Amino acid sequence: MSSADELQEKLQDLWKKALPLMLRRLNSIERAHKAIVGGALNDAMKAEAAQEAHKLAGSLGVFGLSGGSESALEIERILSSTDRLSTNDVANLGEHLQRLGRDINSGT
Amino acid sequence: MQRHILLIDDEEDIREVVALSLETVAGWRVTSAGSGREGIELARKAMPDAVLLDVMMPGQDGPATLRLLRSDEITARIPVIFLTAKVQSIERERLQGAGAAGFLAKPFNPMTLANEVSEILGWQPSAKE
Repeated sequence: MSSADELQEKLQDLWKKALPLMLRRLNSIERAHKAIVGGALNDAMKAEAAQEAHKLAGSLGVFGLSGGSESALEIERILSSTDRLSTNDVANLGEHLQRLGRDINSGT
Repeated sequence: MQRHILLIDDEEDIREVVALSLETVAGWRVTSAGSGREGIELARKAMPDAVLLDVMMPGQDGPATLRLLRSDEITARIPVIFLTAKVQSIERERLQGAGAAGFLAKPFNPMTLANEVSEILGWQPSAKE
């Protein structure tokens, strides 16, 4: 087995182990999104979700889920803004969140 | 020659992927620390060939950790490469001023990580025997 094949196989095992953590991070962002839609988002929840999106961007990228990584980066950008979220921001956040969820679940 | 890398990153999944990548692809030995404080202790004890250091960590962040490594004569000469998602030129200038040997962008490609580290440090390209 080549080192590339060996690495790929081990990365798949590692992904299975890391999946619960990825889903917890996703869940944190989903909670923030629901709070935004319901008008109940607070600063702590927003900061936590932005931090989780930042971590997801790095993690998903190293596991080869580049689409999810890009969506996580975009979510981080939206949630890190100090401006009030516009209707367009909220719509973008929802779209990227759906893409993120699809990518994480497709990686299983 | 088996290289020894010390990785300092607060995210466990990233630590595991980096270790897996460098050990599997290049045959290097990797020691991991989950915080800057723990990393400094390990660097003093183990004297690695290089340190991969995450920029954004809670508490003592990457630049603060690098300053402490540089201020200690035991660890002052160990080359340090920052791992960072923020690779804009202003961020690079700030970090380079802190004495980093280079930068690796997060996310990285696990297949090419060892060669990127080798390139930054002027080491021979890495391939596991």
